[in-house]
Amino acid sequence: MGLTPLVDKLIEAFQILPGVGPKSAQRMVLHLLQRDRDGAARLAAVMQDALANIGWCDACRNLAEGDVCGLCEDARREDELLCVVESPADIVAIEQAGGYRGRYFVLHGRLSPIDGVGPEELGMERLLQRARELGPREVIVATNPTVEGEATAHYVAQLLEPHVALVTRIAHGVPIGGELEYTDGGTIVHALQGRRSIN
Amino acid sequence: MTRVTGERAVVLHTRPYRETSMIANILTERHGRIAAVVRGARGARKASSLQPFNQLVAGWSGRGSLMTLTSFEAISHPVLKGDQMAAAFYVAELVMRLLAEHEIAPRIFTAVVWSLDSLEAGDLSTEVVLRSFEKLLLEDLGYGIEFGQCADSLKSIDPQARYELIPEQGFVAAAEGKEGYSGADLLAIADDDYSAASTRRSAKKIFRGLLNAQLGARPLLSRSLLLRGSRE
Ligand SMILES: [Zn+2]
Repeated sequence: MGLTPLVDKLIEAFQILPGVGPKSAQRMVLHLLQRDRDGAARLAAVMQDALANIGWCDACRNLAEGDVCGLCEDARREDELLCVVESPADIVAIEQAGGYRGRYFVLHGRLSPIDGVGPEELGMERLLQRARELGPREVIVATNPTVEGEATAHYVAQLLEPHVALVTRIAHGVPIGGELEYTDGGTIVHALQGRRSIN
Repeated sequence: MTRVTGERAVVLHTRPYRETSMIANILTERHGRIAAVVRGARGARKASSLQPFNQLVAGWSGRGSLMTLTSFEAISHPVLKGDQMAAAFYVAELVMRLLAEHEIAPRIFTAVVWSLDSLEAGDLSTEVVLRSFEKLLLEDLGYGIEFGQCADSLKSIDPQARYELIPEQGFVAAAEGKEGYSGADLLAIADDDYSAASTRRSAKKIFRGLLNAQLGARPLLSRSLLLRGSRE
């Protein structure tokens, strides 16, 4: 520490990244300043560009350059299905898994009264508007299988049921390749509750 | 240095803390509400045990305000649906807001466990569970009022008469032209008998007023989870 005030400031700035403490921040900063100043300039320029030009999609609240995101613009995707997720990272996970060709809506969080997150913070009005615009046959609520995620799913269902024929919740249970013996009690309770007929 | 093991507790709330840990707010049977760091709690297995409203057998140690959870095992995983869940959030939010950390409150612990169990079992309506919980919470925090006796005349409440609530005193005969509450409803609340709709309505209004006086300007956000308004 204490090379120059600006170096210290930069090291501190890097520590906002997840998993980056003082030591690794220092390593990153010294690497950029000593060995890769071109890379550092690129990083700074792209960062500025991204901050100026990436916002939320007007339609689905996904990350977007411009008013509407690529997924909403894509005419080949089905308007019949609308999937509600907590974060853009969930969209990436679902897209990578493949098999889903519908639309999305991003809440950017989940209901958590004690943390001050209520329906308004999650853009529920916008979601209702989006569902009305698309007129999907089914809305799939893919919030995380936590108590807050469940509460959010319930709220979404109550909000949309008067306007959409079918509101469904993703299944949760024992993971593929897992073994019951090593599965936690909460997961087993939910897996038993969510059981379905084999044929 | 505090060191406790094998204590019954209920998870009220958790939030992420640093990279891989979380801070759990738990209500314990004999040590009140405590906040404790849980290390490495972001993996699915530990996170599952620490879902809000689970009952635990837990141990912790530390000094000052923030403890470290040293052991925990979930002994119940309530599966709450819809309004039951919104009601459970309401119970947890009330305790987080009104019960100070480390304030010993075994009766509130019992009431929270009873409320969560009753909500899951579903044999009492959500509304009755919440009114019963609110009454006990107010009494135990020292904000309770007398439902069976008139605050100025000290006579028993007359089921035929009407009464109004004077803050921090209790019920007095309703002034001319004031609607107030019926004596019959007040006596029913005193007996924890919420079978009549008018009793439930009166209790809701009375408890909400008393709780709001303690909560101050910041509203309870869990009330907004009940989309259809007055369902709780
Ligand atoms: Zn979009």
